[in-house]
Amino acid sequence: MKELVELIAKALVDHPDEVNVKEVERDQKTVVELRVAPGDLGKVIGRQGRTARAIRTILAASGTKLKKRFVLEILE
Amino acid sequence: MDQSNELTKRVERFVEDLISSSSLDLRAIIDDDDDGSIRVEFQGFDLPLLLGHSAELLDSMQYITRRVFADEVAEGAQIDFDASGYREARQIELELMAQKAAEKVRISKVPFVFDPMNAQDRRIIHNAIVDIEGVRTESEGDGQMRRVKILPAY
Repeated sequence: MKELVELIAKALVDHPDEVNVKEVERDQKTVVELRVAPGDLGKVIGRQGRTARAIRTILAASGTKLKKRFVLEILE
Repeated sequence: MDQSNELTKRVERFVEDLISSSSLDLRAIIDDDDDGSIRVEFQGFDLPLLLGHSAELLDSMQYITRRVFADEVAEGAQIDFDASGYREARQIELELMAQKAAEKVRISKVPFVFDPMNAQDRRIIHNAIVDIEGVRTESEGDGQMRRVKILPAY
């Protein structure tokens, strides 16, 4: 799932080199931690959180396919 | 290769990467118009997943792709995602819902409020009501909660 979030984040931001994605297993869920440059935070969250919501929807669909639960956390 | 063709190729590449990295069983067929608009049509086993919940997944993929290429599409052009004629079927469904609700409001004089909808769906409702006499529409609420209301026009 790292690749999916990385692909989307790198395509959206101004500083793709500073995109960092880590997967952490926690309580039977896979937490996908996304870190971007401070100036790029708005690009991955979007107006009224719309971009982040869209990423979460794609992540959830992928989870349905893989029978896993993914949670996206956006960190600075 | 001209510029718009180059963009179409890059959109195609991005959508294919999106499909493969999300483990979705889908294929994307990409086409572009003279005005620079790009149409992405999906086929495959995971269409129900793509179109379920009012096509939330289709819309999410479309939204992300539009954001990514926002600065590159020609002015007035758009990137549109569709599958199995979903957009047209949805439009017909919304128009029927709008006509039914308008008729109810016209007779009862009691306002009717729709469930929250995205901007595209709200526009379809507004347009369907414009020419019906005795009713008018308004939108209320913010962001994801924005909904169309049909009111009696006095």
